[in-house]
Amino acid sequence: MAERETPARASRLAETGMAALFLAPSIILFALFFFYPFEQLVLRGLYRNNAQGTNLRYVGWSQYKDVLTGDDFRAGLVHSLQYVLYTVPAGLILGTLLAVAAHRKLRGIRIFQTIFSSTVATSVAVASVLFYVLLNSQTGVLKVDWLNDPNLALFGVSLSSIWQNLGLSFIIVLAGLQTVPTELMEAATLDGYGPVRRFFRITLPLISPVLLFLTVVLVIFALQAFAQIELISRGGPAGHSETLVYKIFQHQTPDQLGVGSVMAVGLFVVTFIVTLAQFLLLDRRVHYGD
Amino acid sequence: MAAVIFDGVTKRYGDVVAVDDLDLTIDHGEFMVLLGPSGCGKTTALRMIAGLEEISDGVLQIGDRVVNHVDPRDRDVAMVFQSYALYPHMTVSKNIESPLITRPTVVEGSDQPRKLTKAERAERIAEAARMLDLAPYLDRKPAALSGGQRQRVALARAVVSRPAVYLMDEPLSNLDAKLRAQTRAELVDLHQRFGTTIVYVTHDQIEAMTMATRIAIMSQGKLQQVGTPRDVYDAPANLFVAQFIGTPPMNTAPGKVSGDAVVVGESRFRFAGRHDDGRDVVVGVRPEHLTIGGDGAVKGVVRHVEWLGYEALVTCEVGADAANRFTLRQDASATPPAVGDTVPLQVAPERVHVFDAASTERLGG
Ligand SMILES: Nc1ncnc2c1ncn2[C@@H]1O[C@H](COP(=O)(O)OP(=O)(O)OP(=O)(O)O)[C@@H](O)[C@H]1O
Ligand SMILES: [Mg+2]
Repeated sequence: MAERETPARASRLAETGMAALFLAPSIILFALFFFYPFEQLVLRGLYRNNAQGTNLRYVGWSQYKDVLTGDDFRAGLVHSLQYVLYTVPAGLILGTLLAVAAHRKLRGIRIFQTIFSSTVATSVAVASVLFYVLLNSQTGVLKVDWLNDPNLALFGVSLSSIWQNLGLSFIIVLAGLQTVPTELMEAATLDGYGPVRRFFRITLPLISPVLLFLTVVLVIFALQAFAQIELISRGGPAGHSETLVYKIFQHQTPDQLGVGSVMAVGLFVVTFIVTLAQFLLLDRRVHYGD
Repeated sequence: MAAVIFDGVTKRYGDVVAVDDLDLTIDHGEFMVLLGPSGCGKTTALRMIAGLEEISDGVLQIGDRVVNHVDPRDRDVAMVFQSYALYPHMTVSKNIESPLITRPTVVEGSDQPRKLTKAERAERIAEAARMLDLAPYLDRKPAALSGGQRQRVALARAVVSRPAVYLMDEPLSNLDAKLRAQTRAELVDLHQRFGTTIVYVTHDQIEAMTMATRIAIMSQGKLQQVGTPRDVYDAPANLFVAQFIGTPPMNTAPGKVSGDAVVVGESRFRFAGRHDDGRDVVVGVRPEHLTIGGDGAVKGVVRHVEWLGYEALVTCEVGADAANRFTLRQDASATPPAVGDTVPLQVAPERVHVFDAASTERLGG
């Protein structure tokens, strides 16, 4: 008997075709706006050029090695990780505290919910100017001189990020709290749990997926922070608040493009690894309902 | 000693009166069922016992303590929620252990409640698991259990701490019919073994009739009647109770007292006691007490016949009024009357219920 397509095989083929069809738009978009530019970036890191941006010279992977093990990259990386450390735990804790406070069914709480959420609608520029004014050593409200202190400049800048992320953290955690059934809380109350135990034994595990998501988002925000630094400290004093992104920005001059590209690839890899690590490490502890 | 006493307890939500001046004494060791249609205030009453709802007015006592302002955890009650409220991130074993961790628990051989040791807790968990057939599932999370198993975990969590009062809010409503019947029997068994007080909320009269030692029937926040299942069935305190209990519900028709009978159109329902002549009343007869035959004092025109296999339900129009439809249950083997026939109906006088037309209260007598 001659070989023929069985109906099952035909339908499987049709299914694959459909799958490709549905995937095509996102694949095309990804290719156009991510894979292609990324490839260009990686390749750019293999070249060096003169101040005019001409006279492109191939230097190969050695440039990757030099830049990624260099002091500049390391300093940027350390500052970036510091920025993560300053902003992420504070953002998580403050956002959760505000959300827990606003989750209580109190009269007039809506006003506070609106106020807490409002930082989401503030632009980075506005937040930065606000904190620039607050932190100004002469005219500043806080009367501190952090921006000129090598050890405190980055921390000072991070305050604006913490403040600005608060709205998002608040909204996300509040949404998480609202998915926890009231009856569970009541059951815990009858089981003899006080408010603190109830929070740590019931609420926290149940909103852990939301907190994981928030952590990942805040880490990425921290690693990408740029405008705040540019507007508040300009990387200073003496480069003490230059994060990786800030350094990449500084290397956008025509003669430094190659080095900047390598750093950008480095930042991508760092972000990727940190995010992946978060998922792998935390996912095991996170409870995703049923 | 009474286990729970409601003394004029009222719960208001703004303008809504969810529970209205409730007086109810639940005795020690009783299986008290709060029964009533949706929205009548059963859950609210139960939640007030648990301490999850503030009391607007009146006094609530558990044992000999006034508990109006006592913390839920100090009330020595356990609750089974309609949704079970199991902790989804904890194993079955941890769920069951939960009430034992912080709450002082009564231990045999001592009347001072105290916190249990880890070994004692393990023993209690094992015991509860054995009793409710949960041993194979102790390490699972609730998501990996069937509805019936979850329900048993919720029960196990309630029984481990051996509270003075169990509170249950429609715990069977998520189960299928077969499992419900089985769990009903298990609950009765549990109650008999421990002899603890159970306050059980349901809108299902079968559950109420089969499990309760006494039933408290509520409507619109008000208590209508309290009594044994037999009491409320045989002598409903008012028209609401009469029509709420029993399937098919009690047949009723408005009429006037004349001598020893209530007259409805051409028909005369003779009753056993004495009532004032000329009084406007409502007469009630349960379907199983009405039969075809007799002297023709009551006559009905057959309107339809439903054959159910084990019996037939015959619906007749009485007193030449389409609103007065009386249903009777007929043996499945009997020949049903033809639709349109006029048939004589009879009922024993002591089976005739008489209610006041204005107040709807039962008229004794
Ligand atoms: N938080 C609340 N705010 C306002 N009204 C409420 C609140 N909780 C309950 N009620 C009202 O109180 C009345 C009694 O409610 P309850 O939950 O006790 O009824 P139920 O008898 O348990 O009904 P069901 O059988 O449907 O569960 C209802 O009219 C309900 O709308
Ligand atoms: Mg209810």
